[in-house]
Amino acid sequence: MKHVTDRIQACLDGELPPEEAARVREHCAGCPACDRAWREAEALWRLVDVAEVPQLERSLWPGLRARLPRRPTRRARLVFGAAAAAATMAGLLLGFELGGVGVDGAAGNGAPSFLDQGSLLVEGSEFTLDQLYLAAGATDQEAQR
Amino acid sequence: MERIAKGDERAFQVLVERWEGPLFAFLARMLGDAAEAEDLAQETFLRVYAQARHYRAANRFRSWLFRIGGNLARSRLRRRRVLRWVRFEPGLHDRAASSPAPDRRLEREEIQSAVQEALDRLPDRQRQAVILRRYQGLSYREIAGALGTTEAAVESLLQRAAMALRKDLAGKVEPE
Repeated sequence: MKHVTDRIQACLDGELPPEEAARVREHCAGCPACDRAWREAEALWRLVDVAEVPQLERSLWPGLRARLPRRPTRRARLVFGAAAAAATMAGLLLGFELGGVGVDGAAGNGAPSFLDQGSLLVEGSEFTLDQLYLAAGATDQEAQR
Repeated sequence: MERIAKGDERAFQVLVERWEGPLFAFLARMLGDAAEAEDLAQETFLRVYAQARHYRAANRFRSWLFRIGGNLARSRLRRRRVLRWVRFEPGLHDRAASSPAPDRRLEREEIQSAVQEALDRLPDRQRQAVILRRYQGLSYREIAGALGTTEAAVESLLQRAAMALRKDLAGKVEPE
């Protein structure tokens, strides 16, 4: 029968199916060369296994906790979102005031109500909302909707 | 892991406290240096935290953790070898190899130190396979997951490691 030295390691590690493990053991019992290989492997791992397990002296958690990336709390996210929305709105209103944008010739005349009027006067020229929409990259069909 | 992916620090703390001992022991054996092992264990956990959302429950967590730790350790070992080469430092291995092998019965500490030195001399992947099998008790399947290879390759790595260790520890291995 063929030697089984290449399966001894897996057999010792309990990684072979029971039938194959039984075949390996049976072969080793009757084959001096494989039996020697088996006993040498056992002795080697016995020696390696006596090595002490390195012990951690203190938990890693306190140090790790300090290094964790801070994630904003739900409350912080809400406050930040509200602040960002308010700033955007303020910026838009200020832009309309300073940019000379008005409604139907009423440049700089308070908050714009162009959605009701359907046209805008931008630096002296009047544009319909459809024209502005197309200028922003929309298709004709989208502009008609 | 789902809770950790959502930023639950308490869940992460439980995971760290469960796995820090085995991970540290694995890294300490890989690197042969406790301070470095502690540093890399922290780094490994930070990566687990950052990548928690990519973790798939189908994988064994143990394999995943040792894969991240093992990759970091191998990278650290490569860097160490490059630095040693650049600085023309003689390796620890050279000294160990040139020391005379005592013919008297070795004390426990001497055996441990001889085993650690023999492990240090193994190629990184063989060493990783041996440590995961002998000291962490991982199955071939789990080791394959940690090394990103097949179970047959793990068996082969362990066989080659056994041959090298047997040669290295000749005189200390006494079959019964």
